[in-house]
Amino acid sequence: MSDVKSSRLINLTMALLGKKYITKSTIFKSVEGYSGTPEAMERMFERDKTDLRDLGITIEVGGFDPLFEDEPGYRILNSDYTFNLGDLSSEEIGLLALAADIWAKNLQSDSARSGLRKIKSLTTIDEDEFTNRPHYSLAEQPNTFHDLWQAVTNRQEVVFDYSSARSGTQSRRTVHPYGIGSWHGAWYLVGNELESASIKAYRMNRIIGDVKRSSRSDTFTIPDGFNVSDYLIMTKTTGEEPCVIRVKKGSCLNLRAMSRVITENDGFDLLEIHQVQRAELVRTILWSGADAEVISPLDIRDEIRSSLERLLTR
Amino acid sequence: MSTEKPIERTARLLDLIPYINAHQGIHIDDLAEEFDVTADVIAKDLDLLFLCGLPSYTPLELIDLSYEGGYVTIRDAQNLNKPRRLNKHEVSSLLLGLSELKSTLKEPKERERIDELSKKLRDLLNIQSEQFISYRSVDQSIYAEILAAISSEKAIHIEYLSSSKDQKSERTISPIEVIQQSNREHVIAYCHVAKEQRVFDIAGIKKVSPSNELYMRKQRMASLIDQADASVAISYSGSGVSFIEDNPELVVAHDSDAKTAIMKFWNTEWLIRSVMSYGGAVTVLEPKLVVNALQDRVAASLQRYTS
Repeated sequence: MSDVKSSRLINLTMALLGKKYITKSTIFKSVEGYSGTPEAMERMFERDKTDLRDLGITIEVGGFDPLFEDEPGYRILNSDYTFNLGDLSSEEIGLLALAADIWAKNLQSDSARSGLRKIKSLTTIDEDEFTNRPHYSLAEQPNTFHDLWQAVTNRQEVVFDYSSARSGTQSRRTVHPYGIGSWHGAWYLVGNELESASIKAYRMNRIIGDVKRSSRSDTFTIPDGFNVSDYLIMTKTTGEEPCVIRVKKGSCLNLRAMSRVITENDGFDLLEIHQVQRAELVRTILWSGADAEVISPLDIRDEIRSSLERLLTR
Repeated sequence: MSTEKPIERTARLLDLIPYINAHQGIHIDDLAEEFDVTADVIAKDLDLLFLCGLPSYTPLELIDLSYEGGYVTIRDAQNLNKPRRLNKHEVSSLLLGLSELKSTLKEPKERERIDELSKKLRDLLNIQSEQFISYRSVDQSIYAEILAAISSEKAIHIEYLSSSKDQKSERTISPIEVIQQSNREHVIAYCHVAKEQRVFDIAGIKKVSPSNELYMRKQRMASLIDQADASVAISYSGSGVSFIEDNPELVVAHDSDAKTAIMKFWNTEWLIRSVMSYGGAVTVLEPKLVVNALQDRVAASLQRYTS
C-alpha cells in the first residue's frame, strides 16, 4: 500500500512541478497511479493534495485554460518547492553542520538534522573541509525547554506557574513566547505576558511544573524588529563610549583580559574596554574591589558607587 | 517498517533524490545512516524511485539512478534535483544552534559569518525579529583543546586567571574530566605544579599549548565541594537569588520565603569577591569574621568614589 501511494505522490509532485498549470482531467489521464471511477480518483486527488500540503508543498490553483473554461489548473512553483541560501562556502556549511549537531546531539532533535540534510542537498561540497572541526556540547536544558522551544517555533500561547525572583511569589502566567536566550548555560524565555500586557523575561528553571501549550498554532505575531536581547539585560552590551577604568598595577587581570587599550602610568594603568556585556563588566568591576575605579562613563561609575553603598551595612 | 505511513516514506523519497544528486557515488550504508533507516529500506526506496517520473513515463522521463555494488548515482533526477524547502522547525533549530555556536566563538570574523547565515535563514521564512541569543564565557577553541587533551591523555600548558584570586598563573595540567559546576564549565585536572587535583574554571583558561610533560592520571578525587567545611549564612533580594541558583551544590539550607540560605564555601576570598559582584543583592549575615572582612573591602572600594 505504501508503495502505490508513495509513488503516486512522487509522480504527482513531479507532474505539478512543470512550467504550466495542468488540469485535474489531465492529471487523471496522464499521471501514473490514478485509476478507478471518476469519483474514486476525485477522492484520491483531494487526499493527495492534503498530504502534499502536510509535506510543506504548496499547490497553486489558477491558469484557467481558455479551452476548458470552468476547469482550474494546478501547479507547484519551483521557487515555493525549494529554497535558496545563495552561494554557501564549505566553511559556512561547516558552521551550519556544527549548529545542527548541537541540537541533534543534545535534544535528539530530528528537525536540526533534517534541516542540515536539506542544506547539504543544495550543492556538492567538500565535506572533509569541516568534518574535523571540534564538537561542542551544550549545558543541560530544563525540563520545560522542549515545550517552550516548540511554542516559540509554532507561535503557540503558553500557560505556566512562575516563581518570581523579585517578589518571591508564585503566580500563573499566560504568555505569547517570542524568543529564547541562554546566559552562561541558564535558559530564559522572553514573551508577551497577557496578565500584565508587557514583554518579560523568565528564567526557565523558575517555572514550576509543566508548561501548557495552546492546541492552535500561529496564535500571535511577533512585532517586527523584536530582538530578544533587548529584554535580557545581562546580554546588553555597553554603549559606543568606551569604559575607562583606573586599575592598580599588576591587578584586575580579568578586566585587563577584556580591554583593548591599556595605558601605563606611574602607579596605575588605564584600561579602555569596548562593547562588552554590560552586566558582566559591572560584576567584574565589583569583583575587583578597591583595585579598580571607573572613570567613565558616568552611568557605570554611578552604578558601581551605589552598589558599593548598598553593600556597606555598618 | 510496516508501520511507516506513506506520507513519511514520501518525505524521505523526496529528500533522498537531491541528497544523492549532491553526493554522487555515495554508499547505500551511508545513506541508511544519514536517513536513520536500514540499508534494506533504502534499497526498496531506490527500487520505487526507479519507476517514478514525468508523464508519459518513457525511459527519458523517468528518474535515472543506479546502484552497483552498493554505490548509488543519479544520472537524471528530472525536476526533483532540489531539496524541499526548510520548514519552521528546521529553521528554528538551526537558528538556535547558530546562536549557541556563536557564543563559543571569539573570532570576530567567524561571529560575523554566523550573523550572516542567521539572516539568510530568517529571510527564508521572512522572520523580521531576532528570537535567539546565547552568551557564555567559554572559548570554543580552548574548550576543544581541553577535550582533545582528555581523550588523547596529553598534558597541556595553560595560562590561568583564578576565579577566586586576582592572579594569573602558568602551569602544566593533565585534564581528566569536564564538569558543569555553578552553571559554568570546569575541568578537573591533575596540576603538575600543586602536585594534586584541582578544578579550573574553563573561562579562566586564556591560553593552551602542548606540554612535553607526561600525562598524570590520578584517581578522581572527591568533589571539591565536599572538601568545603566552612559555611556562611546569607540573605538576598531581587537578582541575588541567582547566587543560590548558580551554586546549587553549595546550598546546605534555603528558605525561599525568608530569602535566607546557609551555604558551604571553601575559600573566603572567593566568597567575598562573589558577594561583592552582586552589588548588594546578597548580604552575608554570619560568621562575623567574613562580615567584617567583606565590610572592610567594601569601605576601601567605596573610598575610590568618595574621596
